[in-house]
Amino acid sequence: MRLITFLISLFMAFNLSAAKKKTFVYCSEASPKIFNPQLGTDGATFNASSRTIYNRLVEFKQGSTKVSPGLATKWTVSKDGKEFTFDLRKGVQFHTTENYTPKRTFNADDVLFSFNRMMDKSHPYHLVNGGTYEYFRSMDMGKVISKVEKLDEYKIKFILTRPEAPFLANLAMDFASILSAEYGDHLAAKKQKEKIDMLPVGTGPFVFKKYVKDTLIRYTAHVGYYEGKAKIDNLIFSITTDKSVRTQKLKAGECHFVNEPSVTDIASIRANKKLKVISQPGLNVGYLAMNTEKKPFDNVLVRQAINHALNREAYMKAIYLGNATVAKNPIPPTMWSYQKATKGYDFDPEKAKKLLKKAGLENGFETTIWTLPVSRPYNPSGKKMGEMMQADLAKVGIKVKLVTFKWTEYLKKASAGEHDMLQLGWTGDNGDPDNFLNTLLGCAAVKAGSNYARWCNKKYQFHVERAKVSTDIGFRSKHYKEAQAIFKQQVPWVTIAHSKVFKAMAKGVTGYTQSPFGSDIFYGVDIQ
Amino acid sequence: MFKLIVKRLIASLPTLFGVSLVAFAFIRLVPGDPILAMFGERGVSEEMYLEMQANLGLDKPVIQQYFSFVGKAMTGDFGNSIVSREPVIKEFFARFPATIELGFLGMFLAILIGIPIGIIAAVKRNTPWDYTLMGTSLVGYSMPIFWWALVLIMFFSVNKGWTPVSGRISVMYDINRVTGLLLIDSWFSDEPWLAFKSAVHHLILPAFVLATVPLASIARMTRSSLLEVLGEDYIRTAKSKGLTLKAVVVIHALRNALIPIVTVIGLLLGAVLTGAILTETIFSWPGIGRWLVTAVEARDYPIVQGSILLIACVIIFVNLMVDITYIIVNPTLRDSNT
Amino acid sequence: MKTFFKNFTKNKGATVALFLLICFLFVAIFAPLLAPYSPNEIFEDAYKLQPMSYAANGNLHLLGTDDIGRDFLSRLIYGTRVSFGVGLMVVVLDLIFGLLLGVSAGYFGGKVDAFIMRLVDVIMSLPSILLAIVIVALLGPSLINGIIAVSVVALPNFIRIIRAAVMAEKQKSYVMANTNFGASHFRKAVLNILPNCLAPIIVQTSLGFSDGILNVAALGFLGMGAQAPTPEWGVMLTDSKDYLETASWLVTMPGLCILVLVLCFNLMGDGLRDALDPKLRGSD
Repeated sequence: MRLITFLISLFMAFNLSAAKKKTFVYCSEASPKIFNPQLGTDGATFNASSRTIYNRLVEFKQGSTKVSPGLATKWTVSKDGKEFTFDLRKGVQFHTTENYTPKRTFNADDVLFSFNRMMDKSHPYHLVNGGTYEYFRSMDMGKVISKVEKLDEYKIKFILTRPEAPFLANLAMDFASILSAEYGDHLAAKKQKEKIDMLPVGTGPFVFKKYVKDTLIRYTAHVGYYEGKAKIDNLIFSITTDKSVRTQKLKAGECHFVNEPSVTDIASIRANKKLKVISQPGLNVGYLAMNTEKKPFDNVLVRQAINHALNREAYMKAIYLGNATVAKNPIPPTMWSYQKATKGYDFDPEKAKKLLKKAGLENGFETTIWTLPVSRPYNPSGKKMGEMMQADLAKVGIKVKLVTFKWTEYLKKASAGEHDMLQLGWTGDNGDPDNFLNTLLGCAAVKAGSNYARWCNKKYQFHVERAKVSTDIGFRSKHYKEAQAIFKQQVPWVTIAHSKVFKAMAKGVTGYTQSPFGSDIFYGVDIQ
Repeated sequence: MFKLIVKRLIASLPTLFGVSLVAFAFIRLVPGDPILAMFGERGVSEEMYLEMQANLGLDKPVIQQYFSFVGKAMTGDFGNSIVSREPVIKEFFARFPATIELGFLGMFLAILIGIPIGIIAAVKRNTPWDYTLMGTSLVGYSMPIFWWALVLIMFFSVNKGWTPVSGRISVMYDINRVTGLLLIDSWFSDEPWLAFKSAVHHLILPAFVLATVPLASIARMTRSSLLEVLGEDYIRTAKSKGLTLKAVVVIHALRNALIPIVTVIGLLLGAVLTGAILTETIFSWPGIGRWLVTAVEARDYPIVQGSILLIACVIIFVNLMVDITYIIVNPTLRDSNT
Repeated sequence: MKTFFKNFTKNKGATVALFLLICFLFVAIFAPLLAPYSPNEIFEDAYKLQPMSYAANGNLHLLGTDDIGRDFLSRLIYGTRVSFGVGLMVVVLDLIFGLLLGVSAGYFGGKVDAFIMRLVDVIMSLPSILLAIVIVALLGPSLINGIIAVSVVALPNFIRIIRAAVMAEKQKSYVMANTNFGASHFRKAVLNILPNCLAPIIVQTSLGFSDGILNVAALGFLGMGAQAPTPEWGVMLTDSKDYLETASWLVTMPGLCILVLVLCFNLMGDGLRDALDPKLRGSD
């Protein structure tokens, strides 16, 4: 009998010590594609890899778009803006996992390895796992970087082909994460190169432990992390694809934190005493692009008429449930160089009719709107917004047919310019206005397919290009403001909304800072 | 018996060939393509597009792609997923046990509840019992299960909090994969009993949703085939010999009534796979149904063509098993079929 | 015919179902007269109103409004139209192709039969909803394409039943007798055999209705059926899935409508079978 009591108490003691370990459960929205941000393009992959496992030379300061030191402690830029030299941090440890124990700390070889894998077609890892490095290349980095040079163990130099203002911010982006060269050699020797992206090793705050497909990912805290061990001991990503199910799980206490709760659930989460919601204006814009290569949208009067015809305030209420503001510029107000002076287009069907009449279309016309087939913070329900737009435009005599396709097909046809009007949006990558104004509205983007209005305006292009090659914020700002004024007069889009981005969590969660890019970072997070 | 199995296996080859063709052709005819699917809003330059196409082998002539697919499939190689770059077969078997577990329990529930309901209704024919049970079965049979699942989740998980909202097991239990079936694997974890309980707890609602339609079918089939058998002469004889109704039902009638019931169960197994797609989508169940729907959306060709072929194999195999059971249940068929 | 009617009306469930179906049909046909508002009219600032409530401008919404302010009752009423139409089109498509292929297979036998049955095998060894999803993806999501996909998936049932009936009829002596007189294939197949296998076909038609409605709704639920702003019940269900907690009537009502309509067709199918199939009729 006594023995049993002893055993029970022993068991209890064991349990207690287990309970002291803090486990944090995050209900994430999708399975990661792979555990290497160089190969990823979506938020789920980045949250599961770059923001937990890896670090970059420079990092976005938590909660802002400002660049701060990361694996590089400081850097200098040459006068012509074409050479960046970085001093690397010493003594940074890579993860020790079940299959691998690092023998050295982080140095310049790792930086070379990481960038050359993406840039150099003859690099032994270049083709591993079908590497095409989509993000790296769509940011044009392959053309911007001419060479990466190791000056010594802890000094590295990037030589650029041209001055590129957003370059430093680009290095803080997910795809610029630093992998371990030693681990690469270790796997190459074992002839298991492909494992580098499945069983990742990085320097980040969490160590990858296990991935159960479509179900969960387990991490443990990296004890030797260079900024100190995370406050939580275990981190679990519980993959839950359905928005409302995620919220239900949060309410049931099955997770501590949910990604992208549905706007429709925000009120009920707020009302729940065990939960809390935080929000901040997102670095995003939702818009309706008009295909300016097609009639009648080549006529600026028609575009202005449509801007007046849509009751955007009503969309804010019905679709964003009050959690967004009507957008007047293509960039969000939190971004530097935002043109405050812009006057928006009021909801005014009479004026719209007049403008249409002036354009010779007093009897209206027939057209289509493509409705966004996926739910995004910048547009939670494209279909419903389409239905409301349809009703609004009917009032000024424009007969609209709603069309939609599955996401991939939608993008393909839209990139080819098959649409008349189309709903889309954008969430910023690096906090630079160029990432909105040039990526979405520049002339080069018409061909690349990301300028869905297919609008190319010489004056606008001039300002955007001038701003891109300078590093002087004041100078850039001036040009971007000019560009926005031209945009507003020409209105290739109806700018719809800048939405708030929500995060919902259990009351006991502390230390979480919202990132403007929407990524979830759990270093520094604690639970009571 | 052996001869029959071989014969059936050979007969299924043309079917499999047809399936491979359909699976291959359909997903390629679908507009949109896997490369664009990866890029989302940002678009892709033509140069990069062509390069990726070559990387993935999508630049080769379609006929060549098909024969390479079939040729490799015969050796068990279904290619690698475009999205995750992992072998299709590995991805498939990572998720298949989840579907099996759900489907198996669903079918088990359907049989366990359906047959007794059918028997009671048949024995108490034309009584309120019969009407109530058969009425309920017909409602179950007509149920749009995607709606049914939502209603049950709303009541049991959200309002009452009796069952978990989704998932296969609480994430707190670290289960190592042995069979992939959590009802078994949970016994190898640190807290076997608790983990097992958690697995059952998570399974019960989706399994019940999945069981609804088959359950109703089985109950209806059991009732009607029992009635048919009960009307036959030898049962009348048995009755007149003074055997009680209960004994008659259990001993004589049920055995003969089993043949159509087994057939229905066999047919339903295919339906269970279909039901699993909807059920898995709603309950975020990490099985092949949900995975396949995602793969179709991402236009992940290797996954779609490979796993459709694999699923067809499973269905054909199950049908074969049903035929064999059929013969075991009804020995008189044995000679005529071989 | 008389005995059929007597037998059918003896089945109370089937009679009630028939009555309800007539009601549904009435609603479907006269939807514009019955619905209080247009199904697509958006009432501003009247989002997600409770059932039996008045909007700010004094409009009464018997079943409330949906998330973008459309009268829910009107949408449900128009939805009846959509669902009936869907069921009808699925059944008509399946009957045309089912008869064509089923009769050919059953009547000619041999290679024709083998080929058609292989086709049936292929369709049946794919999970039906998956096949439907792929077909819709192929044709582009729309109500019509959803109907086509669902018809293809349901086709094997029709072919098999028609084929079996034709084969059984063909064995019977009067067809044999006709063969001796040299009647044409078409004449034999259509005039002699078909009328005698009507019973199972009629039953299957009724069940085909329920299957079709259910599957198109399922496709709608997965976002691959009817497109906005068509008031299709399955689509209305997905649209309001997020409001399960806050506005549950938006979820319960369309589902209930699907259930009742499908139930009616199944009940009628049962009634028809009992009335037409002598084997089950007499047993006891």
